Amino acid sequence: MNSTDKLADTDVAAGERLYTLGGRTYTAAQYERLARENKAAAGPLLITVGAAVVFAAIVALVFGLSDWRLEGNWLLVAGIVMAIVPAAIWLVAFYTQDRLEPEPKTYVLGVFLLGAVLAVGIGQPLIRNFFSVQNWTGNNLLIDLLAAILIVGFVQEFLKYAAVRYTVFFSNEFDERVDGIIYGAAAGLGYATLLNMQYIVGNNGVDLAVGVMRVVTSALAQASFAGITGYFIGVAKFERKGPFWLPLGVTIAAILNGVVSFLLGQVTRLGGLSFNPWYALVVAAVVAGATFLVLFGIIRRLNAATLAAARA
Amino acid sequence: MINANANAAVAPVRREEGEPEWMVWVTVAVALVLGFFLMWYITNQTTAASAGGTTLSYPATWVQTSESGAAFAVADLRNGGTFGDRAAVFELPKAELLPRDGGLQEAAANYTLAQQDARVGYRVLSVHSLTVQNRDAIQIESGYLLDSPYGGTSMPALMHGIDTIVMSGDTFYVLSYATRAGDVDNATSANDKLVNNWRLP
Repeated sequence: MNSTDKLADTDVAAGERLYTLGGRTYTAAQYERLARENKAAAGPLLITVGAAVVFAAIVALVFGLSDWRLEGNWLLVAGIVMAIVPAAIWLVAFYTQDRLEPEPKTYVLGVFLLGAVLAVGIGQPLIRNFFSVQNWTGNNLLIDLLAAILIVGFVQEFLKYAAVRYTVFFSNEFDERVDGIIYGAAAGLGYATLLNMQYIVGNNGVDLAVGVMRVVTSALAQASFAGITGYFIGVAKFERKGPFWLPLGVTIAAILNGVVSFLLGQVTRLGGLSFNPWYALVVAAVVAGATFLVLFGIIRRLNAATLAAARA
Repeated sequence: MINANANAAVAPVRREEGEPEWMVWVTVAVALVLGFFLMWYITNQTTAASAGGTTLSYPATWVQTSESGAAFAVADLRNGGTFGDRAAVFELPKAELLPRDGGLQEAAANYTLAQQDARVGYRVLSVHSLTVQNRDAIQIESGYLLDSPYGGTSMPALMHGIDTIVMSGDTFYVLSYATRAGDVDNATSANDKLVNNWRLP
Protein backbone atom coordinates (compact mmCIF):
# COMPACT_ATOMS: atom_id res chain seq x y z
CA MET A 1 0.00 0.00 0.00
CA ASN A 2 3.05 2.24 -0.32
CA SER A 3 2.24 5.39 -2.15
CA THR A 4 4.51 6.58 -4.90
CA ASP A 5 2.53 9.79 -5.34
CA LYS A 6 4.23 13.05 -4.65
CA LEU A 7 3.62 14.21 -1.09
CA ALA A 8 2.96 17.86 -0.57
CA ASP A 9 2.72 19.41 2.83
CA THR A 10 3.28 16.82 5.49
CA ASP A 11 6.61 15.45 6.43
CA VAL A 12 6.78 11.73 6.02
CA ALA A 13 9.81 9.77 7.13
CA ALA A 14 11.69 8.12 4.31
CA GLY A 15 10.43 4.61 3.74
CA GLU A 16 7.46 5.07 6.03
CA ARG A 17 4.52 2.98 5.00
CA LEU A 18 1.52 4.96 3.81
CA TYR A 19 -2.12 3.91 3.73
CA THR A 20 -4.88 5.01 1.43
CA LEU A 21 -8.52 5.20 2.40
CA GLY A 22 -11.29 6.44 0.16
CA GLY A 23 -8.78 8.13 -2.12
CA ARG A 24 -6.81 9.79 0.69
CA THR A 25 -3.40 8.90 2.02
CA TYR A 26 -2.39 8.56 5.66
CA THR A 27 0.58 7.61 7.77
CA ALA A 28 0.22 4.54 9.95
CA ALA A 29 -0.48 6.59 13.06
CA GLN A 30 -3.11 8.68 11.36
CA TYR A 31 -4.70 5.63 9.81
CA GLU A 32 -5.05 3.85 13.12
CA ARG A 33 -6.35 6.95 14.85
CA LEU A 34 -9.18 7.62 12.44
CA ALA A 35 -10.41 4.04 12.78
CA ARG A 36 -10.07 3.90 16.55
CA GLU A 37 -13.03 2.97 18.67
CA ASN A 38 -13.72 5.81 21.07
CA LYS A 39 -15.50 4.48 24.12
CA ALA A 40 -16.49 8.03 25.07
CA ALA A 41 -18.73 8.32 22.01
CA ALA A 42 -21.40 5.62 22.20
CA GLY A 43 -21.62 5.18 25.97
CA PRO A 44 -22.44 8.75 27.01
CA LEU A 45 -25.04 9.23 24.29
CA LEU A 46 -26.81 5.98 25.12
CA ILE A 47 -26.57 6.81 28.83
CA THR A 48 -28.10 10.20 28.07
CA VAL A 49 -31.05 8.59 26.30
CA GLY A 50 -31.76 6.34 29.27
CA ALA A 51 -31.01 8.88 31.99
CA ALA A 52 -33.06 11.61 30.32
CA VAL A 53 -36.07 9.31 30.10
CA VAL A 54 -35.69 8.37 33.77
CA PHE A 55 -35.34 12.06 34.67
CA ALA A 56 -38.50 12.91 32.72
CA ALA A 57 -40.43 10.06 34.34
CA ILE A 58 -39.37 11.08 37.85
CA VAL A 59 -40.22 14.76 37.36
CA ALA A 60 -43.54 13.90 35.69
CA LEU A 61 -44.50 11.52 38.47
CA VAL A 62 -43.38 13.81 41.31
CA PHE A 63 -45.15 16.89 39.97
CA GLY A 64 -48.03 15.03 38.34
CA LEU A 65 -49.08 12.95 41.32
CA SER A 66 -48.28 15.28 44.19
CA ASP A 67 -49.87 18.57 45.18
CA TRP A 68 -46.48 20.27 45.14
CA ARG A 69 -46.68 23.27 42.85
CA LEU A 70 -44.13 25.92 41.99
CA GLU A 71 -45.27 29.39 40.98
CA GLY A 72 -43.91 32.64 39.58
CA ASN A 73 -40.15 33.02 39.30
CA TRP A 74 -39.50 29.67 40.97
CA LEU A 75 -41.47 27.93 38.24
CA LEU A 76 -39.51 29.80 35.58
CA VAL A 77 -36.15 28.99 37.17
CA ALA A 78 -37.12 25.33 37.61
CA GLY A 79 -38.14 25.20 33.95
CA ILE A 80 -34.86 26.70 32.77
CA VAL A 81 -32.86 24.28 34.91
CA MET A 82 -35.00 21.46 33.50
CA ALA A 83 -34.16 22.59 29.95
CA ILE A 84 -30.44 22.28 30.66
CA VAL A 85 -30.60 18.85 32.31
CA PRO A 86 -30.47 16.61 29.17
CA ALA A 87 -27.39 18.42 27.84
CA ALA A 88 -25.83 18.40 31.31
CA ILE A 89 -26.36 14.63 31.60
CA TRP A 90 -24.56 14.10 28.32
CA LEU A 91 -21.70 16.46 29.13
CA VAL A 92 -21.11 14.81 32.51
CA ALA A 93 -21.30 11.31 30.99
CA PHE A 94 -19.05 12.36 28.13
CA TYR A 95 -16.31 13.86 30.26
CA THR A 96 -16.49 10.99 32.71
CA GLN A 97 -15.76 8.48 29.97
CA ASP A 98 -13.61 10.57 27.62
CA ARG A 99 -10.43 10.12 29.65
CA LEU A 100 -8.11 8.22 27.34
CA GLU A 101 -7.67 11.04 24.92
CA PRO A 102 -10.33 13.60 25.69
CA GLU A 103 -11.84 15.93 23.14
CA PRO A 104 -11.05 19.52 24.14
CA LYS A 105 -13.77 20.78 26.46
CA THR A 106 -13.76 24.15 24.77
CA TYR A 107 -14.46 22.55 21.38
CA VAL A 108 -17.38 20.45 22.60
CA LEU A 109 -18.85 23.33 24.61
CA GLY A 110 -18.20 25.70 21.73
CA VAL A 111 -20.12 23.56 19.26
CA PHE A 112 -22.91 23.13 21.83
CA LEU A 113 -23.16 26.91 22.29
CA LEU A 114 -22.89 27.54 18.56
CA GLY A 115 -25.84 25.19 18.01
CA ALA A 116 -27.84 27.29 20.49
CA VAL A 117 -26.72 30.60 18.98
CA LEU A 118 -27.60 29.49 15.44
CA ALA A 119 -31.00 28.36 16.69
CA VAL A 120 -31.85 31.70 18.32
CA GLY A 121 -30.13 33.85 15.70
CA ILE A 122 -31.12 32.16 12.46
CA GLY A 123 -33.11 28.94 12.85
CA GLN A 124 -36.12 29.97 14.88
CA PRO A 125 -36.51 33.44 13.29
CA LEU A 126 -36.43 31.80 9.86
CA ILE A 127 -38.94 29.09 10.77
CA ARG A 128 -41.32 31.11 12.94
CA ASN A 129 -41.05 34.64 11.54
CA PHE A 130 -40.13 34.32 7.87
CA PHE A 131 -41.90 31.08 7.01
CA SER A 132 -44.41 31.39 9.91
CA VAL A 133 -45.12 27.66 9.68
CA GLN A 134 -47.24 27.81 12.81
CA ASN A 135 -49.76 30.01 10.95
CA TRP A 136 -50.49 27.82 7.96
CA THR A 137 -50.01 24.26 9.16
CA GLY A 138 -52.42 22.12 11.15
CA ASN A 139 -55.18 21.66 8.61
CA ASN A 140 -53.74 19.01 6.30
CA LEU A 141 -51.50 16.10 7.33
CA LEU A 142 -49.58 16.00 4.03
CA ILE A 143 -48.90 19.74 4.11
CA ASP A 144 -47.82 19.45 7.75
CA LEU A 145 -45.38 16.66 6.88
CA LEU A 146 -43.93 18.52 3.89
CA ALA A 147 -43.50 21.70 5.92
CA ALA A 148 -41.86 19.74 8.73
CA ILE A 149 -39.32 18.28 6.30
CA LEU A 150 -38.71 21.07 3.77
CA ILE A 151 -38.65 23.98 6.17
CA VAL A 152 -38.17 22.88 9.79
CA GLY A 153 -36.05 19.82 9.03
CA PHE A 154 -33.71 21.39 6.51
CA VAL A 155 -33.23 24.65 8.43
CA GLN A 156 -32.45 22.90 11.70
CA GLU A 157 -30.23 20.19 10.26
CA PHE A 158 -28.28 22.56 8.04
CA LEU A 159 -27.50 24.82 10.99
CA LYS A 160 -26.32 21.88 13.09
CA TYR A 161 -24.24 20.73 10.12
CA ALA A 162 -22.75 24.21 9.80
CA ALA A 163 -21.94 24.31 13.53
CA VAL A 164 -19.63 21.31 13.01
CA ARG A 165 -18.54 21.60 9.38
CA TYR A 166 -17.25 25.16 9.54
CA THR A 167 -15.59 24.94 12.94
CA VAL A 168 -14.10 21.79 14.50
CA PHE A 169 -14.06 19.95 11.17
CA PHE A 170 -10.84 21.75 10.29
CA SER A 171 -9.27 21.04 13.66
CA ASN A 172 -6.65 18.37 14.26
CA GLU A 173 -8.75 17.33 17.25
CA PHE A 174 -11.33 16.03 14.79
CA ASP A 175 -9.21 12.93 14.30
CA GLU A 176 -11.65 10.02 14.40
CA ARG A 177 -14.66 9.16 12.31
CA VAL A 178 -16.78 8.99 15.44
CA ASP A 179 -15.95 12.61 16.32
CA GLY A 180 -18.54 13.64 13.76
CA ILE A 181 -21.27 12.03 15.84
CA ILE A 182 -19.92 13.51 19.09
CA TYR A 183 -19.77 17.07 17.76
CA GLY A 184 -23.02 16.63 15.84
CA ALA A 185 -24.80 15.55 19.00
CA ALA A 186 -23.29 18.53 20.83
CA ALA A 187 -24.70 20.90 18.19
CA GLY A 188 -28.07 19.12 18.35
CA LEU A 189 -28.24 19.34 22.14
CA GLY A 190 -27.33 23.03 21.96
CA TYR A 191 -30.10 23.62 19.45
CA ALA A 192 -32.59 21.65 21.58
CA THR A 193 -31.61 23.42 24.80
CA LEU A 194 -32.28 26.78 23.17
CA LEU A 195 -35.65 25.58 21.79
CA ASN A 196 -36.62 24.35 25.24
CA MET A 197 -35.58 27.59 26.92
CA GLN A 198 -37.60 29.60 24.41
CA TYR A 199 -40.59 27.37 25.11
CA ILE A 200 -40.28 27.79 28.88
CA VAL A 201 -39.51 31.51 28.93
CA GLY A 202 -42.12 32.21 26.23
CA ASN A 203 -44.77 30.60 28.41
CA ASN A 204 -43.41 32.27 31.55
CA GLY A 205 -42.79 28.84 33.05
CA VAL A 206 -44.60 25.62 32.27
CA ASP A 207 -46.32 22.83 34.13
CA LEU A 208 -43.25 20.81 35.10
CA ALA A 209 -44.93 17.42 34.71
CA VAL A 210 -45.82 18.19 31.09
CA GLY A 211 -42.88 20.46 30.27
CA VAL A 212 -40.26 17.87 31.20
CA MET A 213 -41.67 15.54 28.54
CA ARG A 214 -41.27 18.16 25.86
CA VAL A 215 -37.78 19.13 27.05
CA VAL A 216 -36.47 15.57 27.02
CA THR A 217 -38.29 14.63 23.81
CA SER A 218 -36.83 17.64 22.01
CA ALA A 219 -33.30 17.04 23.33
CA LEU A 220 -33.22 13.35 22.36
CA ALA A 221 -34.72 13.99 18.94
CA GLN A 222 -32.49 16.94 18.03
CA ALA A 223 -29.34 15.18 19.24
CA SER A 224 -30.05 12.02 17.26
CA PHE A 225 -30.88 13.90 14.02
CA ALA A 226 -27.63 15.84 14.32
CA GLY A 227 -25.81 12.59 15.06
CA ILE A 228 -26.76 11.40 11.57
CA THR A 229 -25.35 14.51 9.93
CA GLY A 230 -22.31 14.16 12.17
CA TYR A 231 -21.74 10.61 10.98
CA PHE A 232 -21.68 11.77 7.36
CA ILE A 233 -19.31 14.61 8.25
CA GLY A 234 -17.07 12.24 10.18
CA VAL A 235 -16.77 9.85 7.25
CA ALA A 236 -16.29 12.67 4.73
CA LYS A 237 -13.38 14.05 6.74
CA PHE A 238 -11.30 10.93 6.13
CA GLU A 239 -12.61 9.45 2.90
CA ARG A 240 -13.40 10.91 -0.45
CA LYS A 241 -17.10 10.12 -0.86
CA GLY A 242 -18.12 12.33 -3.75
CA PRO A 243 -20.30 15.42 -4.05
CA PHE A 244 -23.54 13.78 -2.94
CA TRP A 245 -22.33 12.36 0.35
CA LEU A 246 -22.74 15.42 2.59
CA PRO A 247 -26.04 16.55 0.97
CA LEU A 248 -27.29 13.00 1.51
CA GLY A 249 -26.45 13.23 5.21
CA VAL A 250 -28.23 16.56 5.68
CA THR A 251 -31.21 15.31 3.65
CA ILE A 252 -31.60 12.08 5.64
CA ALA A 253 -31.37 14.02 8.90
CA ALA A 254 -33.90 16.60 7.65
CA ILE A 255 -36.35 13.91 6.54
CA LEU A 256 -36.03 12.06 9.84
CA ASN A 257 -36.41 15.38 11.68
CA GLY A 258 -39.60 16.18 9.77
CA VAL A 259 -41.11 12.71 9.99
CA VAL A 260 -40.37 12.26 13.69
CA SER A 261 -41.56 15.78 14.57
CA PHE A 262 -44.73 15.07 12.63
CA LEU A 263 -45.20 11.72 14.40
CA LEU A 264 -44.53 13.27 17.80
CA GLY A 265 -47.34 15.73 17.13
CA GLN A 266 -49.68 12.96 16.04
CA VAL A 267 -49.03 10.37 18.74
CA THR A 268 -49.66 12.79 21.59
CA ARG A 269 -53.13 13.70 20.36
CA LEU A 270 -55.93 11.74 21.92
CA GLY A 271 -58.71 13.68 20.26
CA GLY A 272 -60.10 17.10 21.07
CA LEU A 273 -57.79 19.08 23.32
CA SER A 274 -56.52 16.02 25.21
CA PHE A 275 -52.98 14.87 24.69
CA ASN A 276 -50.55 12.44 26.26
CA PRO A 277 -46.89 13.52 26.19
CA TRP A 278 -45.71 10.09 27.42
CA TYR A 279 -46.23 8.69 23.93
CA ALA A 280 -43.91 11.36 22.49
CA LEU A 281 -41.28 10.54 25.10
CA VAL A 282 -41.40 6.85 24.16
CA VAL A 283 -41.15 7.62 20.43
CA ALA A 284 -38.25 10.05 20.95
CA ALA A 285 -36.38 7.61 23.19
CA VAL A 286 -36.82 4.76 20.70
CA VAL A 287 -35.78 6.93 17.75
CA ALA A 288 -32.75 8.36 19.54
CA GLY A 289 -31.65 5.00 20.95
CA ALA A 290 -32.09 3.22 17.60
CA THR A 291 -30.39 6.02 15.66
CA PHE A 292 -27.31 6.07 17.87
CA LEU A 293 -27.09 2.27 17.99
CA VAL A 294 -27.27 2.06 14.19
CA LEU A 295 -24.73 4.87 13.71
CA PHE A 296 -22.25 3.44 16.16
CA GLY A 297 -22.77 0.00 14.68
CA ILE A 298 -21.92 1.30 11.21
CA ILE A 299 -18.90 3.22 12.52
CA ARG A 300 -17.63 0.14 14.37
CA ARG A 301 -17.96 -1.96 11.25
CA LEU A 302 -16.19 0.69 9.14
CA ASN A 303 -13.38 0.96 11.65
CA ALA A 304 -12.96 -2.80 11.84
CA ALA A 305 -12.80 -3.03 8.05
CA THR A 306 -10.28 -0.20 7.91
CA LEU A 307 -7.96 -1.83 10.44
CA ALA A 308 -8.36 -5.26 8.86
CA ALA A 309 -7.36 -3.81 5.48
CA ALA A 310 -4.27 -2.26 7.05
CA ARG A 311 -3.20 -5.51 8.63
CA ALA A 312 -3.76 -7.53 5.50
CA MET B 1 0.25 -4.23 13.55
CA ILE B 2 0.39 -0.59 12.79
CA ASN B 3 2.82 1.65 14.62
CA ALA B 4 0.74 4.45 15.97
CA ASN B 5 2.06 7.73 17.20
CA ALA B 6 -0.46 9.01 19.70
CA ASN B 7 0.42 12.63 19.04
CA ALA B 8 0.15 12.50 15.30
CA ALA B 9 -2.54 14.72 13.90
CA VAL B 10 -4.85 13.03 11.47
CA ALA B 11 -4.93 14.89 8.22
CA PRO B 12 -4.33 13.44 4.82
CA VAL B 13 -0.60 13.58 4.12
CA ARG B 14 -1.23 14.90 0.64
CA ARG B 15 -2.70 18.27 -0.09
CA GLU B 16 -6.23 17.33 -1.11
CA GLU B 17 -9.49 19.09 -1.66
CA GLY B 18 -12.32 18.38 0.75
CA GLU B 19 -15.75 17.22 -0.28
CA PRO B 20 -17.49 19.75 -2.54
CA GLU B 21 -19.40 22.05 -0.25
CA TRP B 22 -21.68 23.78 -2.71
CA MET B 23 -23.90 20.70 -3.13
CA VAL B 24 -25.05 20.99 0.50
CA TRP B 25 -25.97 24.63 -0.01
CA VAL B 26 -27.79 23.82 -3.25
CA THR B 27 -29.73 20.98 -1.58
CA VAL B 28 -30.82 23.16 1.32
CA ALA B 29 -31.68 26.05 -1.02
CA VAL B 30 -33.85 23.77 -3.18
CA ALA B 31 -35.66 22.47 -0.07
CA LEU B 32 -36.32 25.99 1.20
CA VAL B 33 -37.51 27.21 -2.20
CA LEU B 34 -39.95 24.28 -2.29
CA GLY B 35 -40.98 25.15 1.25
CA PHE B 36 -41.52 28.76 0.23
CA PHE B 37 -43.79 27.72 -2.65
CA LEU B 38 -45.68 25.45 -0.28
CA MET B 39 -46.20 28.38 2.08
CA TRP B 40 -47.24 30.65 -0.78
CA TYR B 41 -49.71 28.05 -2.09
CA ILE B 42 -51.31 27.45 1.30
CA THR B 43 -51.50 31.08 2.42
CA ASN B 44 -53.02 32.14 -0.89
CA GLN B 45 -55.56 29.37 -0.90
CA THR B 46 -59.11 30.53 -0.31
CA THR B 47 -62.30 28.85 0.70
CA ALA B 48 -65.65 30.03 -0.64
CA ALA B 49 -68.82 29.89 1.38
CA SER B 50 -72.36 31.07 0.68
CA ALA B 51 -73.53 33.63 3.13
CA GLY B 52 -77.03 35.09 3.05
CA GLY B 53 -77.33 34.97 -0.71
CA THR B 54 -73.77 36.21 -1.18
CA THR B 55 -70.60 34.21 -1.62
CA LEU B 56 -67.51 35.09 0.36
CA SER B 57 -64.01 33.81 -0.40
CA TYR B 58 -61.70 33.91 2.60
CA PRO B 59 -58.22 32.52 3.44
CA ALA B 60 -58.35 28.75 3.83
CA THR B 61 -56.55 28.94 7.17
CA TRP B 62 -59.44 30.91 8.72
CA VAL B 63 -62.11 29.02 10.60
CA GLN B 64 -65.88 29.50 10.80
CA THR B 65 -67.11 31.18 13.95
CA SER B 66 -70.39 32.63 15.08
CA GLU B 67 -71.27 36.27 15.47
CA SER B 68 -74.57 37.62 16.72
CA GLY B 69 -76.90 38.50 13.83
CA ALA B 70 -74.41 37.44 11.13
CA ALA B 71 -75.37 35.16 8.27
CA PHE B 72 -71.80 33.92 8.21
CA ALA B 73 -68.63 34.61 10.19
CA VAL B 74 -65.00 33.51 9.93
CA ALA B 75 -61.85 34.38 11.86
CA ASP B 76 -58.11 33.84 11.70
CA LEU B 77 -57.91 32.26 15.14
CA ARG B 78 -54.71 30.35 14.34
CA ASN B 79 -52.67 33.42 13.51
CA GLY B 80 -54.25 36.02 15.72
CA GLY B 81 -55.71 34.02 18.56
CA THR B 82 -58.96 35.25 20.06
CA PHE B 83 -58.45 38.71 18.56
CA GLY B 84 -57.37 37.55 15.11
CA ASP B 85 -58.63 39.01 11.84
CA ARG B 86 -62.33 38.37 11.35
CA ALA B 87 -65.03 38.85 8.76
CA ALA B 88 -68.79 38.52 8.92
CA VAL B 89 -71.59 38.95 6.41
CA PHE B 90 -74.84 40.53 7.55
CA GLU B 91 -78.08 40.53 5.59
CA LEU B 92 -80.34 43.39 6.69
CA PRO B 93 -83.81 44.30 5.42
CA LYS B 94 -83.85 47.66 3.72
CA ALA B 95 -86.27 49.04 6.31
CA GLU B 96 -83.77 48.36 9.09
CA LEU B 97 -81.20 50.81 7.75
CA LEU B 98 -83.56 53.06 5.82
CA PRO B 99 -86.87 53.42 7.72
CA ARG B 100 -87.65 56.38 5.48
CA ASP B 101 -86.42 57.40 2.08
CA GLY B 102 -82.76 57.96 1.59
CA GLY B 103 -79.59 56.64 0.05
CA LEU B 104 -76.43 54.90 1.12
CA GLN B 105 -75.26 57.89 3.19
CA GLU B 106 -78.37 57.71 5.35
CA ALA B 107 -78.07 53.94 5.59
CA ALA B 108 -74.46 54.31 6.72
CA ALA B 109 -75.47 56.87 9.33
CA ASN B 110 -78.13 54.54 10.71
CA TYR B 111 -75.68 51.62 10.62
CA THR B 112 -73.13 53.54 12.72
CA LEU B 113 -75.85 54.48 15.22
CA ALA B 114 -76.71 50.80 15.59
CA GLN B 115 -73.03 49.88 15.99
CA GLN B 116 -72.62 52.38 18.82
CA ASP B 117 -75.03 50.22 20.80
CA ALA B 118 -73.59 46.91 19.63
CA ARG B 119 -69.87 47.64 20.03
CA VAL B 120 -67.96 48.98 23.03
CA GLY B 121 -66.26 52.35 22.51
CA TYR B 122 -67.33 52.51 18.87
CA ARG B 123 -65.91 55.49 16.96
CA VAL B 124 -66.30 56.24 13.26
CA LEU B 125 -62.93 57.09 11.71
CA SER B 126 -63.99 57.70 8.12
CA VAL B 127 -66.80 57.10 5.64
CA HIS B 128 -66.26 56.90 1.91
CA SER B 129 -68.06 55.71 -1.21
CA LEU B 130 -66.85 52.98 -3.54
CA THR B 131 -68.12 50.52 -6.10
CA VAL B 132 -68.50 46.81 -5.47
CA GLN B 133 -69.27 44.79 -8.61
CA ASN B 134 -70.55 47.85 -10.39
CA ARG B 135 -72.87 48.71 -7.53
CA ASP B 136 -72.65 51.74 -5.34
CA ALA B 137 -71.39 50.92 -1.89
CA ILE B 138 -70.22 52.72 1.18
CA GLN B 139 -67.38 51.84 3.52
CA ILE B 140 -67.15 52.81 7.17
CA GLU B 141 -63.85 52.63 9.00
CA SER B 142 -64.16 52.48 12.75
CA GLY B 143 -62.42 51.70 15.99
CA TYR B 144 -63.92 49.80 18.92
CA LEU B 145 -63.08 47.55 21.82
CA LEU B 146 -63.56 43.81 21.47
CA ASP B 147 -64.06 41.92 24.70
CA SER B 148 -62.20 38.69 25.25
CA PRO B 149 -64.32 35.54 25.15
CA TYR B 150 -62.69 34.66 28.48
CA GLY B 151 -64.78 37.20 30.32
CA GLY B 152 -64.78 40.67 31.77
CA THR B 153 -61.56 40.35 33.76
CA SER B 154 -59.47 39.90 30.59
CA MET B 155 -58.12 42.88 28.66
CA PRO B 156 -60.20 43.85 25.64
CA ALA B 157 -58.48 44.54 22.31
CA LEU B 158 -58.65 47.72 20.27
CA MET B 159 -59.99 46.71 16.86
CA HIS B 160 -59.92 48.43 13.51
CA GLY B 161 -63.15 47.70 11.66
CA ILE B 162 -64.02 48.22 8.01
CA ASP B 163 -67.69 47.68 7.16
CA THR B 164 -68.78 47.66 3.51
CA ILE B 165 -72.48 48.23 2.84
CA VAL B 166 -74.10 47.38 -0.49
CA MET B 167 -77.80 47.49 -1.39
CA SER B 168 -79.27 44.79 -3.60
CA GLY B 169 -83.02 44.84 -4.14
CA ASP B 170 -84.71 45.33 -0.80
CA THR B 171 -81.76 44.07 1.15
CA PHE B 172 -78.60 45.62 2.50
CA TYR B 173 -75.55 43.36 2.56
CA VAL B 174 -72.79 44.25 4.99
CA LEU B 175 -69.31 42.74 4.87
CA SER B 176 -67.77 43.52 8.21
CA TYR B 177 -64.02 43.05 8.54
CA ALA B 178 -61.98 43.75 11.66
CA THR B 179 -58.39 43.34 12.76
CA ARG B 180 -56.35 44.47 15.73
CA ALA B 181 -55.66 48.18 15.42
CA GLY B 182 -52.16 49.20 14.48
CA ASP B 183 -51.44 47.95 11.00
CA VAL B 184 -53.57 50.08 8.70
CA ASP B 185 -51.89 48.96 5.47
CA ASN B 186 -52.41 45.29 6.22
CA ALA B 187 -55.99 45.89 7.30
CA THR B 188 -56.82 47.76 4.12
CA SER B 189 -55.15 45.14 1.94
CA ALA B 190 -56.88 42.22 3.67
CA ASN B 191 -60.24 43.97 3.51
CA ASP B 192 -59.81 44.81 -0.19
CA LYS B 193 -59.14 41.14 -0.95
CA LEU B 194 -62.30 40.09 0.85
CA VAL B 195 -64.43 42.77 -0.81
CA ASN B 196 -63.05 41.99 -4.29
CA ASN B 197 -63.91 38.31 -3.83
CA TRP B 198 -67.36 38.96 -2.37
CA ARG B 199 -70.08 37.89 -4.82
CA LEU B 200 -73.44 39.60 -4.43
CA PRO B 201 -76.82 38.27 -5.64
